[in-house]
Amino acid sequence: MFSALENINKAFESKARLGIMSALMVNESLDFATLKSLLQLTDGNLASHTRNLEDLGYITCEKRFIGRKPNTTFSITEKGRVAFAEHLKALEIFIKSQN
Amino acid sequence: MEANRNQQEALSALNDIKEMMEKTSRFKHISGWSIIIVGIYATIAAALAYLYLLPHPAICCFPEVTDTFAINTPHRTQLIVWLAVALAALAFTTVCLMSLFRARKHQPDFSITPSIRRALINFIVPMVAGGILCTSLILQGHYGLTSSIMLIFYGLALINCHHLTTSNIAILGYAELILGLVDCFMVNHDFLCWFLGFGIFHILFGIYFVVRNNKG
Repeated sequence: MFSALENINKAFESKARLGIMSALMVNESLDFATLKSLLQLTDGNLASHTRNLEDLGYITCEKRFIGRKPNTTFSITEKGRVAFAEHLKALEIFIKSQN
Repeated sequence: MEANRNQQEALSALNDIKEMMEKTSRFKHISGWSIIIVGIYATIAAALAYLYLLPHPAICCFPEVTDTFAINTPHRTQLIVWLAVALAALAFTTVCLMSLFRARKHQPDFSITPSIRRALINFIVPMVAGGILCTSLILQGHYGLTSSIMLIFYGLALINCHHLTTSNIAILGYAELILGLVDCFMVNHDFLCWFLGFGIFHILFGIYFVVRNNKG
């Protein structure tokens, strides 16, 4: 049981981060506003979660301007994909070990 | 106790992940009623065309109009093309608006994700290609294959976008495709096939969709 828990990634423990990662797993990229409405987070909350994931190297963000409006889009990195897949596998093993 | 709670948490985490992936990668709110309405549009259009535009059996006893090509004067052809374009636009708008309405009702935080855009593009590209091909054939006076090309391209468009929406839509896609392929080997049944494919198939599939959605 311990070995199963070892791979559970602490970075994905919060529901918001789990949501960000799952949404980015199946979408090439998502912008700030879309993510915000999907996860129903406040601006500051989403920004701090994405910054955190970015610092870990799991997602990248690209800032640009559409007209005069700043637009930030996020996408998942290869490292993030691997980390998330491992996390999923660990969750699965953990659930199976309990039954 | 602790282990049990952990397991609950892990399960709910997996459910959240699954839900988020589904929500952002597929558009699951296509309105069944709108599909039925499209079928009704097509039925009305077929009835109108049958009464006013096609060489009517009743008039065909007049020797001067027995030739189909005499009936299909440029003016008449133009009218048919415009009617078809208007019908397609009306049908598309109806489905989009009613589905958007349904999505907003079921999911108040609904927003247009990149995958919805991709689904629309996947659908529109084969439709536009088929539309251009049909127009070109009609303008050149080849009327025979129009209905089967419409059915084939429409079927392919549906199959092409089913993985981004409800996968059931592929059933309708394959049905239209098969009907279109059968149609291209049959002579003189184009009108019947068009009516079957765009009218009856839509109404039947729409009913199936509404029933299935109501079940959950």
